Amino acid sequence: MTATVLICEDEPIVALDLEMLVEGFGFQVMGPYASLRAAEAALAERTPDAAILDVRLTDGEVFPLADKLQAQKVGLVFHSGHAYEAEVSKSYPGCRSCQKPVATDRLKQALLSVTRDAVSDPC
Amino acid sequence: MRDDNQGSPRAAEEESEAEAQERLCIVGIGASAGGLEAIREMLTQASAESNLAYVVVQHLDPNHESLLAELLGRHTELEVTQVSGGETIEAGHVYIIPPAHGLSVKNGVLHLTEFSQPRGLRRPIDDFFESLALDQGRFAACVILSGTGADGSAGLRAIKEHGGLCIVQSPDTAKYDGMPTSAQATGLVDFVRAPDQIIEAVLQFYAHSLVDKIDERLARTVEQSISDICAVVRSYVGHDFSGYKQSTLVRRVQRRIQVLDLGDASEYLEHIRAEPEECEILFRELLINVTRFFRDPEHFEVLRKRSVHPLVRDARDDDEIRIWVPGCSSGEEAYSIAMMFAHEVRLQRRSVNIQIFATDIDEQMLRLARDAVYPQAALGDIPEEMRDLYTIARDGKFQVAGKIRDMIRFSVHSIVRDPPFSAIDLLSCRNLLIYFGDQLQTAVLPIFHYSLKPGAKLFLGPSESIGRYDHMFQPVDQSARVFQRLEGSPKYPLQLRGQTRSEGSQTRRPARDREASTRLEWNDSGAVDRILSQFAPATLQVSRKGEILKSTGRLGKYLDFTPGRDDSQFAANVARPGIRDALSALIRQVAQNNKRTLSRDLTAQSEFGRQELDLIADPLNDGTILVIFRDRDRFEPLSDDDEVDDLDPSDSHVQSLEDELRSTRHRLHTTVEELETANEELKSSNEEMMSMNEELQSTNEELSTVNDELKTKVDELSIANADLSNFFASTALPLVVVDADLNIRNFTDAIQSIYPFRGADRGRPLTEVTSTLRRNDEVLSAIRAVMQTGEVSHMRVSDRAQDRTWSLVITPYRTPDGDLDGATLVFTELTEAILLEEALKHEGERLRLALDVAQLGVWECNPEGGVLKFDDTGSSILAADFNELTHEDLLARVASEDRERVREAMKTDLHGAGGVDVTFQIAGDLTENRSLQLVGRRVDGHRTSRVLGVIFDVTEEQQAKRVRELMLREMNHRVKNMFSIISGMVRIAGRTTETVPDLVASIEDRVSALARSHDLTQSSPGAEQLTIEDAVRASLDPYTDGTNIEVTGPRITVNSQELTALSLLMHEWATNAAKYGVLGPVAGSLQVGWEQAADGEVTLTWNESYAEALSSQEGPAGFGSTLVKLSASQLGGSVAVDATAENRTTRLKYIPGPSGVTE
Repeated sequence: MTATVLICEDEPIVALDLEMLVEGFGFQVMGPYASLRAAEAALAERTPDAAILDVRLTDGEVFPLADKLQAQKVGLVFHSGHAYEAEVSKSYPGCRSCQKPVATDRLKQALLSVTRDAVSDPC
Repeated sequence: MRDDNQGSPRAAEEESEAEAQERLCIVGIGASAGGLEAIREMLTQASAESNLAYVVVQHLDPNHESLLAELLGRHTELEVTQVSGGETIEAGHVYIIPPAHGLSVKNGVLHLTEFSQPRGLRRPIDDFFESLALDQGRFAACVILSGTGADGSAGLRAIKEHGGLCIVQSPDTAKYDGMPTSAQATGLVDFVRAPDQIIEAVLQFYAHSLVDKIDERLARTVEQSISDICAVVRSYVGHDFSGYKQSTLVRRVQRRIQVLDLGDASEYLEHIRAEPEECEILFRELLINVTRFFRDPEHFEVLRKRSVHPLVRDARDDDEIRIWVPGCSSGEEAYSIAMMFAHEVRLQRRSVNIQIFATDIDEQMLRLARDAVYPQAALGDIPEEMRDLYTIARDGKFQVAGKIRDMIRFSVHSIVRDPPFSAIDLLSCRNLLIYFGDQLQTAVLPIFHYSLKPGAKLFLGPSESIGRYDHMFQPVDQSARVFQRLEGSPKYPLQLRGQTRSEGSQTRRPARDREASTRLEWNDSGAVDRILSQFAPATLQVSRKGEILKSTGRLGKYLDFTPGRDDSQFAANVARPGIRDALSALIRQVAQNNKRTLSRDLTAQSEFGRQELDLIADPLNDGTILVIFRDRDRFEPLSDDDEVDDLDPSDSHVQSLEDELRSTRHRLHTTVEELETANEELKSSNEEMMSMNEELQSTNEELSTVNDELKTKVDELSIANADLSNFFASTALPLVVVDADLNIRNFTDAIQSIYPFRGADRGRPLTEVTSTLRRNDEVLSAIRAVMQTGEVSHMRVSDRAQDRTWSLVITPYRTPDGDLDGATLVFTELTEAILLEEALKHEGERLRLALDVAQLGVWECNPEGGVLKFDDTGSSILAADFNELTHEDLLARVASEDRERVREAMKTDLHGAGGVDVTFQIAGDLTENRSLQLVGRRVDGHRTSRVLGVIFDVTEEQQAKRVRELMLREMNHRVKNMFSIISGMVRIAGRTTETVPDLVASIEDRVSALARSHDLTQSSPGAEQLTIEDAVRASLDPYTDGTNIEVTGPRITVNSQELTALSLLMHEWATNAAKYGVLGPVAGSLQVGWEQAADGEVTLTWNESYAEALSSQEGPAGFGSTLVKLSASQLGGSVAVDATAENRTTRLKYIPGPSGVTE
C-alpha cells in the first residue's frame, strides 16, 4: 500500500514542486493545502502517514496542526525558511526539518525516515 | 678634718659588683670664664654610645637666661638639656646647670639648690662635685676647665677621696688658667689634658671598672698583694698602712692601677718598687681626705658650748689651754678650733694662753697648713663674725691671720708611732679613725685617754665612736660626737706601732725633718724631772733671739734672775758677768749656722763666788736652742779680792750698751706696733677692696660667659639673617611687612608689581607709597583691622587695569612676646587661576548643555562608599526623588530579570580597573518598557579614586533594535521563499520543457517576471499602495512598442502576495500573447480592463482583438498554463478563457484580500 503524504504549503509554485517531488518518490499526495483551515478539513476525512509542513501558512503558523498530527503519530517533516530546527525538534521528537530551498535527496531521506517508523515499507 | 661619710663609697663599691657591667659613670664638668669653648671641644669627642653622662656646672649670670644648652647641642651628638630639677641622669646625655641655681645629685637624680652665699662666694662646682662624690663614689669623675678663681678644687678633693677620677684642663690650653692651676696645686689630679683628650682619659680609666669580672679580679689581686705594697710603702715612707681599713686601701691602690693603666697588682708592685716617686704618690693618695673649715657647723656649735666656752671661762689668767688635733691634714680643722677659741676669748674678754698642737704624717699637707693660704671660696665656710677678724685677703685667696697661726704648732707626728702629747684639754680627731682598721682603733683610743686631762673633751667625726672604750670616755653629746674623758689612771700605751722603723727610712727623711719639730714632753714622769733637776747639767732652752723658754737644773751660779719681771727674759741679760758676752755670742752663732757649738774656759762671777765652766749650745729641731752649762771645776766661793773685778768696766760698758739697745728695741717695738695698727687698718681696707674685686671678678666671669654665648648667638643670627635676606630676594611671592604705624619694615623684590618700592622706602609709611591696586584704601583699612583684632584677613584685590588679580592674606605680626607689632601682607597672584576658572565655567556650561540635550544623567560614586550620587537628570531618569542612591536603591529600580546582571556588573566592574557598561529595564514599568544604560569609568585621583558615569534612556534604541531584528527575520524568510520558488520553478520547468535552451528561456523569463514584481514592491513609495494597474503596466512594459494596448479600470489596491500572483499570471498572459497573439505575430489590439462588483469580486479581463480572423491560435497547454492555474488558485480565484476567431478573452475573477504591505 502506498503511503500518503500531507503537504501544507502556501506558495503555489513550491507546493506544485513538492507535490511533483513527493509523487516522484512514489508517495500518494494529500493536498497541497495553503491554509490550516483547508488542511484540517482534509484531515477530518483521512489520516496521512506523513506530512510536509511549511511553518507559515496563509492563516497562521502550522503548529496547532502539527500537534494534532503528532497525536496521531504522523511522521512530520518541517519545511521552512526559518531556522526553527532546534525548537521544533524539541517539541516534536522524531520529526525532521528541511530548510528551504529543499534538496530533493534530503527531502526524500526525511520522508523515508519518518514513514519508516509509521509504515513498514513505503515503496 | 676628714670626710664624714664613709658609707657611700663602700655602698657604691658593693653596688658595683652587681651591676658594674651597665654602670653609669657621671662626669661632672666645672667651668667658668672661657669654659664654653673648652666644653665644646671636649664634648665634640663624646660618643652617645658610651656609658658616660655629663653634668656641666658653669658659672652663669643669675639674671640672664643661658643659651649654653642650645649652643652645646649643635656640637655634640649627645642630647643636651638644661636641668629643671628631678632629672634622672642617663648615659649619653649632657645636663646643664640653669642660671641662679646650684646643682646636687642624689641617687642619680639631679636637684636644684638655692645659693646660700652672696655672689662672689658661691661655689657651685665644689658643691656639685661633693654631692656627686657622695652619691656616685668611684663612678664619679670631675673635669675642671678654664676659669678664674679656685672653684672646683675642694670638690675635686671630695671626688678623689671617694675614689673618683680627677681631670684638669692643661692650663696652657685654657683661656683662663685660674681654676685649672688651683686644681692642679692640690696635687690630687690624675690627668692633665687638652680638652679634646679628656674623654679619652675618662674612658681609659673606666675601661677597667666598667666590666664586672675584670674589676673583681683586679680587686682580688690587689687584696693579695696589699701587704707587700704596704711593706714597700713602709720601707720608703716610714709609715705603716697595714692597720688601715683594707677596703679603703684596696680601692685606692686599684685606682692607681687604673690611672697607670696597668694590668694587675703584681705589675703595680713591680712599678712601686722601681719608682720611689710612686711610693710618694700612693702615700698621698692613701691620705686623701676632705676637709673644710667648720665642717658640720652644728657639731662645732655643740663643741663651743660644751668645751670651748667652759675651758675659756674656767681658765686662770696664766693657764695654758692645751689642744691636740691629730690628723690635721691641711689645717682647716686646727684653724677652725683656733678661731673658735680666739673668738671665745675675745667675747669673754679674757687673756688665756691657747696652745694647739696640730699633727699629721704628711709633710706636704703640713706645709700647706703652715702657709695657711686657702682659696677665697673656702671663706664661706667660716662664720661671718670670724671672717673679718681672723682672715686676710690675698689676691683671690685668703690667709689665716697671724695671731691665729701663732696659736698653732704644726708638726709631723704619728699617733700610732710617736709618743703622744699629754695634759691635753681638748682633743679633736675627726674623720681619722674611719680609715683605721679595728686593731689600730683599739690602739689609738687608749692613747687619747692617756693624753687627755681628766674631764677633758674628745671631739670625733660624725661616723666615729669610742667603741668599747666606754669605761674611758663618756658621751657629752652623742650626736655631735663630743666625749668626756673619765677619771682613771692614765696608762701609758707602750705598744706603739712602727717601732721597727728601719734605718733606711731614717736616712731618707732628714731633708723634711728639718722643717718640722717634734715637741718632746719632758714631764712624762717624775724620774725624768728628778734626773733633770738633780743630775743633769743646768740647761736653758732659749729662742734664737736668746729669750728663755725653759730652764732646768740649778742656774743661780750662772744667771741672775730678777724676780717680779713677767716679761720675757733674755739669757744674755740675766747671765752672770763673765759669761754674758760668751752666751750672747754663742746664741747668735748657733742661730746662724745651726751647729752645736762649744765655748770653753769661761768663768761665771756671782756675788757668791766664781765658777769655771764650758758653755754648750745645741740647736733643736723646732728652732730653739739648748744651752747647757757644764762645770769644769769646783765652785770657788767669793773672796774679797774679787770684788774689784766685779766692776769690770768692759762688762758694764757692754751692759749699758745692751740696756740702750733694749730700750731702743722697746721704742722700735712700739713704733712697729703702731705701724702694725696702721698696717692692719690698711689691710682691712685692702680686704674690703679685695672682696669687692672678688665680686667684680665673678661678675666679669659671668659676663664673659654671657659674652661668649652672645657672640655665638650673633653668628647664628647673622646666618639666619642672610637666609632671610636671600629668601626675600629670591622668592616670587610679593610680601610686605609693616610695623604698627604702617611703616614699611621689609618687602620682597617681587612686590614691585604691586608697590613700586625702592630700598630707601623701608621705614616710610605704606600710606604714602603709590600702589597699582585699585582699592588701596580698603587694603589699608584691612591692615589696621588686622592689627587691632589680631585675626588673619583674606581679601581679593586687583590692579587698576583689572588685568591682574591677587589674593591678599594679611596676618598679624607678633613679637616673640606675643604682642601685635604690625602686619604681614602676602599677595598670591590669581590672574591665571581666574582665567582658568572662567574657562572651566564655560566648559562646564557646554558640557551641561550637551548633557541636557542628550538627556544624559551624570553620576559618581566612591568605590568604597557604595553610594551613587546622581544629578537631577539622572535621578529623574531613574524616577527617584533624591540624588543619592545606594546600590540596593538602584537595584530595586532594575527589572527583576536584569537585577542580578546589574548587581554583578556593579560589583566586579566598580572594583575592577575598567568601567561599568550595563543596560537594563526599569522595574514595574510594564507599559513603557523603558530601558536604561548605565556607563561608568574609574577615575584615579591623587589619593582616592572614584567612578564617574552617565545614565541615559535607551528605550527607543532598544525598540529600533527589536524592529530591525524582526525585519531581518522576515527578509530572511522571504529570500528563502524566493529561493524555494525558484528552485521549484526550475524543477517544474525541468519536467515540462524538452530542450535546455527552452528550459533556460522559460526560467529566465519567469525569474525576471518575479524580479519585476519584486521591483514593483520595492520601488513603490512606502506609503502608497500598489494597484492592479501597476501590476498590469509592469507586465506589459516590455511590449509597449507598436501595439495598441488599452488599459482601463478603477483603482483597486493589491497586497504583495496578490501582486506576485498577479504579476506571474499577467506575465504568462503577456508571454502567451507575445508568442501567439497580438503582442507577437498576430496583428491586432489588446484591451486590459477590470472592474469590481458590489460583493467585492474583481474581474480582470484580458482581451486580444485580432485584425484578421485566426484559425487556431491555441498553444500547447504547458508550464505556462500550469503557472496561470497556480497563480489563480493562489489568488483564490478562477480563470476562464473565451476564444473566437476574432478575439480571445481571458477573465480572472478573485476576491482581493485585505490590502497591506505586510502579511
